[in-house]
Amino acid sequence: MSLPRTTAAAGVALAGLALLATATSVTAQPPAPARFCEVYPDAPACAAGPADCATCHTSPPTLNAYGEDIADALLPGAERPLHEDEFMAGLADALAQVEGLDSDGDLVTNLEEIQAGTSPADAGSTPKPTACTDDLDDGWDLCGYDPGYAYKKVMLDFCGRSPTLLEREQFAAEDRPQAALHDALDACLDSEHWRGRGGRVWSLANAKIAPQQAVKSGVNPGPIPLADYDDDYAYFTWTQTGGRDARLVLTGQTFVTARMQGGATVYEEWDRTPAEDAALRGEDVAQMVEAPYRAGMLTHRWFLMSFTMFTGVPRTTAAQAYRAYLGHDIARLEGLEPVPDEPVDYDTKGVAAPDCAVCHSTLDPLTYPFSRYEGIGGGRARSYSYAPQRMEGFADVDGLGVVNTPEHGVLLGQTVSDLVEWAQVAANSRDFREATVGDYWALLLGEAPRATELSEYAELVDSFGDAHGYSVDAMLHDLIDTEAYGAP
Amino acid sequence: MPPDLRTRLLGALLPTLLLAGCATEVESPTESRIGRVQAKSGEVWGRDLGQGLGLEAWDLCQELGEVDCITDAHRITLGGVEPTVLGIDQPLDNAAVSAPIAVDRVATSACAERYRRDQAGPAVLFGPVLDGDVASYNARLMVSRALVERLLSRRANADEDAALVDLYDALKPLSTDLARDWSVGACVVVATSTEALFY
Repeated sequence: MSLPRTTAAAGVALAGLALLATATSVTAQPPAPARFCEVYPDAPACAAGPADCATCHTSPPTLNAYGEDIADALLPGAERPLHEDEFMAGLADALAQVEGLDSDGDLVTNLEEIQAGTSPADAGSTPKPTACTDDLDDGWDLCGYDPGYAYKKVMLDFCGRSPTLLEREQFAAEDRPQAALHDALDACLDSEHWRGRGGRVWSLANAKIAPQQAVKSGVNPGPIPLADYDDDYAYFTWTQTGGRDARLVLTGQTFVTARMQGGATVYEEWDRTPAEDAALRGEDVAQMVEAPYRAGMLTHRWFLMSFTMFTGVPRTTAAQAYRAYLGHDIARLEGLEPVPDEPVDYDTKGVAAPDCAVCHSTLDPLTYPFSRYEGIGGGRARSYSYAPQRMEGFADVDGLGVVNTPEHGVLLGQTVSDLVEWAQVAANSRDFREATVGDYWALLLGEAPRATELSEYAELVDSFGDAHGYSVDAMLHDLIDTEAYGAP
Repeated sequence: MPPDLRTRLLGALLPTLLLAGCATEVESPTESRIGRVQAKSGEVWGRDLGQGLGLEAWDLCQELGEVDCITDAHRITLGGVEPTVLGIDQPLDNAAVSAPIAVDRVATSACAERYRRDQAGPAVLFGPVLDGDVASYNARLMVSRALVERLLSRRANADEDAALVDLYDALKPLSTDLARDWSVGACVVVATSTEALFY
């Protein structure tokens, strides 16, 4: 069964309404970003979908200066909190009323800021002059994409060093600078700085893996050796390099080891049964999930040890997967897509209480497919393995109802039968493409896309699943061609 | 700290301050429409420093002669991460208060090491000053231009030439070893410039 997919903005409507019910003033209204873009369809902030919550909020439900002005203009005199219907009916008029104001006091009206793609709530964000002049002979073309500038950045970002003067002069003499730029990128994608142990791609996995040396097993073990995150780093880096399909990070059923050879990191893919791996590498590092139940890094020993630990219904595990690979941090009310009649609260944690259900109506059905994978212990399964009967072991702690926890769940509005299908749905989603491209965008540009960059960012996201065939390398070749990357 | 090193540090830092004071006299560059500037990580900045000065990574700077300044002692301060023990899996959002001190520490050490090696010969960078006379405008100009070319990968402009060469005049009443202090000082100025640290 496939539930109707709502937009991300509409999906968080219930969360916002719950907040509204407990707040004393007009607060976060999740449908508002979509409504904003109906009023301003050509605004750069709307190029890639509904406007960002930061348009009106500092952190929902707290309003920023622009949001405060809108709140003041919105049906003044009407009793607060406003019903969603009232809010939506009055929003367009309120937006119009504050167009001429200058909410952030930067001498640019709100409307001018919206049209220019800058923030009407941030005095430090103002439209740049549209006419560009660059009279100084300072080496850069400040009026557009500059291949020489992009070349320097490619060398720094991917090779980890500046080009020498000789290299810069040779590049400047190139007849086909864009081709030379991509040759340089190809060379740097093979550098240790980019793809090696501890390199930039490796480090990109830090927040996904959350390593802790104290419980590391394998090489350089900690005092309580439980699992080895080296497997995770190696696997992640392998999926992101060499033109491989990045979806393998969630759907792959093999493993990867990294070793040094001649000063370079070599990644070797392998596939063994848990018994074979335990015999070869030892019980303290062996990957324990049999091949048919593997879902990339979601079923790696480290992930299960680190996030599931001793939990019956492993919500933390699911929340981490949702955050790390799909870009939705439920703790920040991101990616909420409530499922009807959820949460059931199989483990009697009280999550069905209205305030909790705001998130758990999404999180719990997201979690059920993870429930058959053992963490450190607690269930009736070998640590870090897949076991259909696992939940029986939690009845004495979580109550008899926990045994009824289903293995099937709901992800992004789609019913999934188990974690393997969960991973496939996730890997094929736009959310995954956005999260992956967003990771590299932030890595290379130091921030999320600006409003004026959303259209080329959206193109990149689309191409990643299409022309790039989910190859990060191919996506990066397009990323360095963007104005955002190559304009000084 | 040995008195010699302390003197050298002070001697090197002084021109940095002096150059900063002169900065307002230099024509402001055209403003970028994008305005996106990122700090180089300590690792990348150190690699540039090593590339420019002809030094291996380990030779740039060690604390107590044992701990690498960039990869260990000042790793987080210089924009690095340490996820496995400290749980710092992203560079700090804002530069640490001690970051300028760490930057000066590494640059001073690296520049002084280059000077020491050039003294022992064969000279890689400071030859014109060591072989000739630091009082020579042309000798200082050659070194100044080499510093910008090697550390910033571009040709120096006239303002930069003048600022670096004229450090000599500021140091003259203060220094007991003008060749050393001007060489190391000019090197630190370029190695810790905004252009060297950011991109």
